[in-house]
Amino acid sequence: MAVPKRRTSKSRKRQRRTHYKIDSPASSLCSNCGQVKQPHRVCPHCGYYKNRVVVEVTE
Amino acid sequence: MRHMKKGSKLNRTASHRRALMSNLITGLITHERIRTTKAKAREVRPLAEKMITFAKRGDLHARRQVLRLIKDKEAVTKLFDILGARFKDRPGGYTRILKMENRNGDNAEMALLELVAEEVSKGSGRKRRRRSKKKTAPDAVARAPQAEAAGEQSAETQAPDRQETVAGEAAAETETPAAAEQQPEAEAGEKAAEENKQD
Ligand SMILES: [Zn+2]
Repeated sequence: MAVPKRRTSKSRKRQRRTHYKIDSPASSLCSNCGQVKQPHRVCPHCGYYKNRVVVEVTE
Repeated sequence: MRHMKKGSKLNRTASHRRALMSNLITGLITHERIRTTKAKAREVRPLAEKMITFAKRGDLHARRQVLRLIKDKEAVTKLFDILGARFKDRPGGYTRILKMENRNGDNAEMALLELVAEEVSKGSGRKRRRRSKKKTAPDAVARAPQAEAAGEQSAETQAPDRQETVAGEAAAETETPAAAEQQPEAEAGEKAAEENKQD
C-alpha cells in the first residue's frame, strides 16, 4: 500500500491551505432604490424586480 | 444509476412528495402567487403548467386527470373556469419564478412562483412603448409610481375573479362554454377602459 514517505510540514500544509478561500456573494445595485442587493433577486429593500413592484417589503 | 433521472426528491417519500406538489399547486391556483423555496418552486412548476394545459382542454376527462392530483374541487373549478380561459391564447409558460432573498433561519433560497398575468403584462408593454415615444429618457423616479399603480390595478382586477369563483360555482357546471368565454372578454374590456382613464 502506498504510504507517505514524509510527514507534511506546517509550511507545506499552510501553503496548500492558502487557496482555501470563501468568496463574498455577488452584489448589484437596485435599479429602483439604488441600494445594494443580490443580482437576479427581488430587491429586499423596495420589493422591485425588473422595474415592477413585486409587493411585500414590510420587513 | 441516476442517468436521465431529472428533478429533486426534496428529501421526501413518493407519497409525501405528491402531497406537497398537490398542496403547492392548489395554493398557486387559489392565490395566483406563492412564496416557497426555490427547489420546490422548480419542482412544482412543470406540473402546475401541465394542470393549466389540462384546463385549456376543458373536457371531463381532463378534469378527472387533474382531480387525480388536486383534491380541492374549488381550486379545480377555478382552474377550469377562469385560468383555462385566461391562458387560452398563451402557448405555454403560464408561470414565472422570481428569486428572493434567502430565508432567515436556515438560509434557504426562496422564490415567488406566480401565474403570469397576461392582460397586465400586455397592457404595460403597450404603455411602455407609447411612453418611450413621448419621452426619450424616462427616469426611474417617474416610472416608479406608475408601476405601483399597475400593481394595485392587477390586485384589484384579480379580486373580483376570486369572488366570482365562489359565487359562480353552483352555476359553473350548467354554464355553456360560450358564456364562460364571454365573461373574461368583458372583464378585459373593463380593464382596458380603466387603463385609459388612468392615462
Ligand atoms: Zn430596491
